[in-house]
Amino acid sequence: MDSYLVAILTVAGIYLILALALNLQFGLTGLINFGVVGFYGLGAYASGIATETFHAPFLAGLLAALIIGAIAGALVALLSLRLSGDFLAIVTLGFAETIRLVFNNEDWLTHGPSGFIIVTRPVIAGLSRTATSWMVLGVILLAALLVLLLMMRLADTPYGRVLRAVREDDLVPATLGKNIFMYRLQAFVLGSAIMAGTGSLYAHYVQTITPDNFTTPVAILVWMSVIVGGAGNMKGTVLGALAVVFIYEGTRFIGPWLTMLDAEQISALRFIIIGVALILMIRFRPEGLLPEAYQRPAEAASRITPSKG
Amino acid sequence: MNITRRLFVTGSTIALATPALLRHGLAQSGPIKIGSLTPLTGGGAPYGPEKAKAHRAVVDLVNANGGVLGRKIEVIAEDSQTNPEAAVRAARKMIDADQVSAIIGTWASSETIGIMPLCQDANVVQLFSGSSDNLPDGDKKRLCFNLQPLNKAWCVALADLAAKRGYLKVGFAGPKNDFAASMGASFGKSLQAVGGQIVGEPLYYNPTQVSYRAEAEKLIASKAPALFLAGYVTDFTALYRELVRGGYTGKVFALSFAVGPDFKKAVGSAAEGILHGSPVPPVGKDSYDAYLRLVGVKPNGQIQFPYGCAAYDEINLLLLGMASAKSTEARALSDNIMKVANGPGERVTTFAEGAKLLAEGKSINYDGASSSADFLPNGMLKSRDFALYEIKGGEDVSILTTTSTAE
Amino acid sequence: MIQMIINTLASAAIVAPAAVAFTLVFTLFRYANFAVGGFVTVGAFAAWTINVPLGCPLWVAGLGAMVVCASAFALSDRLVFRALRGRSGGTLLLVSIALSFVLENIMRFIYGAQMKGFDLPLTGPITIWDVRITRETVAVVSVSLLAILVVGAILILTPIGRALRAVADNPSLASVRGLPVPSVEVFGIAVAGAMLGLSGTLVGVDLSIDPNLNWAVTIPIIAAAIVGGLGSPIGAAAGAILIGAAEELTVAFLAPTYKGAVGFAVIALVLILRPQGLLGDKVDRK
Repeated sequence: MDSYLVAILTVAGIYLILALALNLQFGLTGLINFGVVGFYGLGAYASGIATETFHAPFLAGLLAALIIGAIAGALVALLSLRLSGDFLAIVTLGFAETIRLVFNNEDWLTHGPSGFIIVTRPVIAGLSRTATSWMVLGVILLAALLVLLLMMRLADTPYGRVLRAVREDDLVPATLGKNIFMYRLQAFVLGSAIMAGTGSLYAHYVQTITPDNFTTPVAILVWMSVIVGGAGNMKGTVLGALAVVFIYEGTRFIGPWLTMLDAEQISALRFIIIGVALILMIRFRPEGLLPEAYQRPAEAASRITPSKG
Repeated sequence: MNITRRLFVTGSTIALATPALLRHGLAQSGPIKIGSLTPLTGGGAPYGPEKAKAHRAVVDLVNANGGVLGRKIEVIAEDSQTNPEAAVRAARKMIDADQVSAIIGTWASSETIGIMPLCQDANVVQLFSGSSDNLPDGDKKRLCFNLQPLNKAWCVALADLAAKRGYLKVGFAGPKNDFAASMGASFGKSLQAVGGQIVGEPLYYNPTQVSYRAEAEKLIASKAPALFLAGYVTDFTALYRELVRGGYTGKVFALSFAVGPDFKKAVGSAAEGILHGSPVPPVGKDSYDAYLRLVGVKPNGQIQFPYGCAAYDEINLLLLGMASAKSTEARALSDNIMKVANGPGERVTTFAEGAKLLAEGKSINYDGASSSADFLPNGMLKSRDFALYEIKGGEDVSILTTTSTAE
Repeated sequence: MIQMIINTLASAAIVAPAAVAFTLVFTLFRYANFAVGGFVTVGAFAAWTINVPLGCPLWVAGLGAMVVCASAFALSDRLVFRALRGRSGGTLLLVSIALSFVLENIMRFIYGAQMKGFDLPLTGPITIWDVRITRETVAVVSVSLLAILVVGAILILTPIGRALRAVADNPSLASVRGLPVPSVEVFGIAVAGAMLGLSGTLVGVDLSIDPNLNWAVTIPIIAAAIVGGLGSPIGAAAGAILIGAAEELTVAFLAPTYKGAVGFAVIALVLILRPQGLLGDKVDRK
């Protein structure tokens, strides 16, 4: 079949998981994480180092990524979560930049700018090229589906309602005796761990990772997926991630028709369009394509108190 | 479940809609597809366009004369953005959607190395110009050919010049990337071989930062009588400016591509006395002149399109390899590229000459526009001309041209 | 030692005006505008356009860049941020980062990626008692200092400055007291924009001008503003000096390649030790 389509879908699956994790942090809980690529890269390198340097199997690499992502998430959150949202945004952005410098400079660990080569695949070895790429796609879509189901389940539980209440207004859940800080911390840590896990999947899919794979434009695409789909709505994120990846890869096929522009201008134009679309979306349709089903936070919070009783 | 159904519907709609865009011309009997992946944006942007143009020009000529193996050649051109991540995505599209038989033209070592696992996996031949000493490592299947000497070769020439001018203690600085890191290591070794040594630790910096003052200060404090700065034009210019403002009076060695017209315009007369070097095309040689005329430029005894001529050799070698192998299958293709490049056989400088002799059953030896195009068993270039210059009166004045040979 | 102080001041002088602008926007509207790096880049290209293709002297280019950035910043507020006033700080922050991305790529679209530099003769330093200083450093530091003092004086001494502070403290109260809040806000934005244009010009004196400037300057600017306590122009300037000094020390004694992480490390330290910033007395808590 068409192996390019397989490749695009694989990439879409990876962006989808990242976007779902961000939707948990931002959409449900209102935490602004601009360091998506930091956690994603951390997971990729952690998993690569576990499987290549220490010869661990793929699952151990994935587990290492999840654990390290959770630890990093907890540290970043402890640093800034008590302050207002702006500080979290700044600290996460700085974290992503710093972690990329570590990848680039610690050659003994990451092989620096020449890139870390990963041989271990997430599927059975020795299959044909086509079969392997289908299997990898299967693994990534399965992971995406699991994360999607987990997130949808989470969003519907009383726990998810508290997260929404935390996002809307700190006072209501606080007066109901909820420890807001703990809820924020948990959501942030879970999201970060999932992002790092995605990094692991990505690393074993592309097989060569360099610090340049984890730059801010990637984070912008993930944010775009969440906002376009509808913050807080997990199904919307699926739509958003697919739309963003197909717009991004699709513009490759438009290039030949824009002959009056050079390649550099086309590439700049692509980013201008994505950025403007993001601004317009927030300006005119902040709820996204698929808005979150509306529920007044106070109502939601009061409904869960008896069960907690 | 509702969501699974919705996902399935969305997914299959896309799956049905996209192939129409992607699948045109996958049939085996159609044209032979070749990927031209060059840096049109990013750090390599000054050099990518001339490479892409050389590929295009040769293919147009070959197609006008009937193609290769009775099939037309189709060039799939993409921008590598001088970024391995973008290069990998573009290469994936070339390999999977277009099903190219070779990817040629990558420039930065990071992009060449980045797409290598993909090409090895899919049995796609690579021809490129790059100089990181790590380039041969990933080529397990022997499908790669490099038209540029490795850093080792550059550094031998630069270290010789430094020694000849009496600079045995030289400081080193460069951006933290694969190219400069490998340059630093090689330069240290070459300098030792001529009795000199690097002053202090090699200094690496990140190429995107707000000021280079502290870096310049550190280099000045090292009191090195000469410095070798292996930067690209953007960071080299900023660092050089701070060195001058900081009062550095020693000699500066650089790479020719960093001190081109943009640099000279930015710093003016302060560029005086910089020594620089790079691999050069053999000016005045018939094959180089033939290339220049093909892309519509008059040979004038000066270096023009230093990377375009390598791209000319990339595409010629690839097409001659196909003609010789009578196949586009990677193993046969790679073996035959080696055969037509290294000979023995009759000397040819264009595809037309070579194809004619091959059809008569003779063997050939391709002599290129950038070098004689002879390879070591690992696909790296055996030797190439290397020129050293000094900036005098705002012009590059040639000091000497040597032929550097890989060990 | 003195050399290091001079170098620190030279680096800080570039970042400080932009940090003042960031602080001003934060005190007026309570959101972090991440597009400051994008506007500095616009300023650098505007100054270059006036200086090189149009052939005007550099001081004219600097003034021109300040006008361009003030207008562009006011325009961005009119088109984007005003409509979003009252939305959460996070939304505005997200919009500003997207805007930064758009600005950077507009510059790339128009000017290409080839690096550019001002028409400025490159000369060696003047040496006084073993301390090296260049004319450019003297000029950059004095211009930057002057600009910050002027902004400080406007805020403290002039009626419009006092009005600006009143609006920043409490817009509804200021409105009740009969202050023309929208025009006061526009004034504040224009001042901030001009400071961004100034930073853009100053950065072009040192660095090659290319679209990648955006990310190079964003983190140091925001770090300087946060360290300075997000309250006053003097605080922002002090923050810039502190960040500059930390960067100099990192290159001199640790690894130069980690210079980019200094801003983040200092922010982290400040948040741990003194969440209210160095000179500020309050941080907006949710």
